[in-house]
Amino acid sequence: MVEQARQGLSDVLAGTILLVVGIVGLIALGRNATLTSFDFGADPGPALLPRLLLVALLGGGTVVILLGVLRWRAARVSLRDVGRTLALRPYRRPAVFVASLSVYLGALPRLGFITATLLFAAGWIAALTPEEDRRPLPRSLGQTAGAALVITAALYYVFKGFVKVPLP
Amino acid sequence: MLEQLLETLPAILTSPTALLLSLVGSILGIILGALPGISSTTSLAVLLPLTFAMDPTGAMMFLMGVFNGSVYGGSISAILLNIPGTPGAIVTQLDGHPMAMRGRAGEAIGYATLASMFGGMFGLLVFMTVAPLLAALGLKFQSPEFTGLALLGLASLSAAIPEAMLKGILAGLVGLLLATVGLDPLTNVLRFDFGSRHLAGGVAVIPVAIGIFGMAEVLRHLEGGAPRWQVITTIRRVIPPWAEMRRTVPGALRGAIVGVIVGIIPAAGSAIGVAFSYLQEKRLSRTPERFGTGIPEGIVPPEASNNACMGGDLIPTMSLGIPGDSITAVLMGALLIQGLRPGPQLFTEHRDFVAGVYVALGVAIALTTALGLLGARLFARTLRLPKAVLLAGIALLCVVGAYAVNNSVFDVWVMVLFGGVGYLMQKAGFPVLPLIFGLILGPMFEENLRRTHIVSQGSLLVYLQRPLSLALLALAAATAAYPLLLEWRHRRALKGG
Repeated sequence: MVEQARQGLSDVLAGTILLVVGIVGLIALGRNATLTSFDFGADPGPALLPRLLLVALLGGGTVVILLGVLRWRAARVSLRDVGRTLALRPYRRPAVFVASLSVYLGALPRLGFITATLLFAAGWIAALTPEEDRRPLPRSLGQTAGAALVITAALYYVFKGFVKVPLP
Repeated sequence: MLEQLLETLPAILTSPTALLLSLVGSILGIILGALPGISSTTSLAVLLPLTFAMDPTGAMMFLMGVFNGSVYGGSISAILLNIPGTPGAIVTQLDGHPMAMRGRAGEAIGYATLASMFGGMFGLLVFMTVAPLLAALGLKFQSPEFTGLALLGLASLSAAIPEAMLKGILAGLVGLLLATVGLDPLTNVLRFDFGSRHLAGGVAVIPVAIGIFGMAEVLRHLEGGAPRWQVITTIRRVIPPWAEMRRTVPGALRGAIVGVIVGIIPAAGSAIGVAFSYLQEKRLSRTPERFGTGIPEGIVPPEASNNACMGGDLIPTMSLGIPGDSITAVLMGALLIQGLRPGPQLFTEHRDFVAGVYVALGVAIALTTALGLLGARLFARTLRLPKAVLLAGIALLCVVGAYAVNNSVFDVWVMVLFGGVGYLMQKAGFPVLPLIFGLILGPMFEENLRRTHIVSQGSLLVYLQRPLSLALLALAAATAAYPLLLEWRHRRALKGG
């Protein structure tokens, strides 16, 4: 029952996001002076498909919200009870990972590819290494540093040397 | 086409560079495909940027190696870990792992390898026969037919994901909407650029594909931490005894036929083919109770089906420009980067390239078979690679790969954004495949929709007056309605008791 309510809540959130996309898109189309003032002749114009898609998203988003509400109500579980059982813990690591990626991307121009990548790789390998593999500590640290170095060097030489990508 | 094939075959077989690219692609494909949770699509998406510096034929040699290697590689972890490396290997573990547990791990891998080769070659032959015929038909297509074709591709998605039809359609619409960002190809008017010069060029397919297939996969793995996998490493004899192997040949043929048919249906996916093959063999067997205990008859047909699916997938992709599944959708992105648009014109304007694709797939199948039989022990060892190293490595490969598309950090942000979007979409029960389909098919759909409108001066009757267009639209409508009909019949049966 709680799972059904949780799924319903997730549908309501997803439907709301679709509604927001639809509304923002329609506003952006409405504010585009070229699209609103120019005569495209026999061509239905560049606004036709986006407008149709956005209206369909608004309709679809509304249906997803309604289905979510129905599912939630059928489960007969209160929002507070769903909130109590919401396990946010599994999402913590992916969220921290995305945040650290953002920091890494921000640091790339300042630190350069090699240093930033080495730090990012070493940090995450150390953080993800299971507890039982962390002993003895000096050996584990050596393995982490070694693996980070191999990953960084491989990426650098393959992309800079072979693919000729001007890495920062 | 035969002429081009006879010219291309010796040229490639005598080129050390081409063979080396295929070998490296096959090795990387097998390793990534064998790692649990890293699908063939992810493997192809993260390795795709390595082809940016290659010529089209070299890129195809490498990518076909990755494609075929990763499809096969999924069976290694299914047998040795009891975890399928790719969705196409989901049933291989049912008999592969029990066989490995009985001390016949090498033979289980041998069966999977030989069945993969058989299925792959069968799929290649069908691809070589059917694709040119379909492309010849495609040459008769004009704007109304191309509009109908794009609609058929999108409608197939709803049939392929009946359990999430509405969500699949909405994801497809979002993909189509993303395809409208930037300069309109017919009028050069900017849409949804929000004043950003980066968005004026549109949303690039490759960073989005790397994000929703590669980065989202990393994020999913991070949820469960990084425990070590328990892997069987004792591998003795790899080539199975002929007397036992002979019995599996009819099943391999049936599996390959199923695989090719499933592959041709856009968006159906190899997982459906392998499941169908396994159930079919069990139904046809005189001893169905032995299935699941570790018998070759449970490994060979699904593996043949899985690899035959590749040839089937490539038929609509190459001849009509409609991706067969997520892997060929990424492959199509690779061709677009090389300046080649898959579709009927490819078979008339770039016949030598098409011949190169045939040879590339054939060479990849041969090399993967050799690698599978000779290097089974080595690939088993790679499964002991710490998951922490693997996840950090793949995440960084996604970053550098997305950057390499246009040497732009903006593309990396796009990749990270769509990594998060892909991850959350799966959490909310939204399939991600329609999004990439929409993004790829969007330009073709919009351009032809508007061209038809201009030529017919706004009359929709043109779609009904042309037999091919009418047939494609009817097929699209039937495809979209099929899951609804099934659901209706299911509900009626339930009500009837």
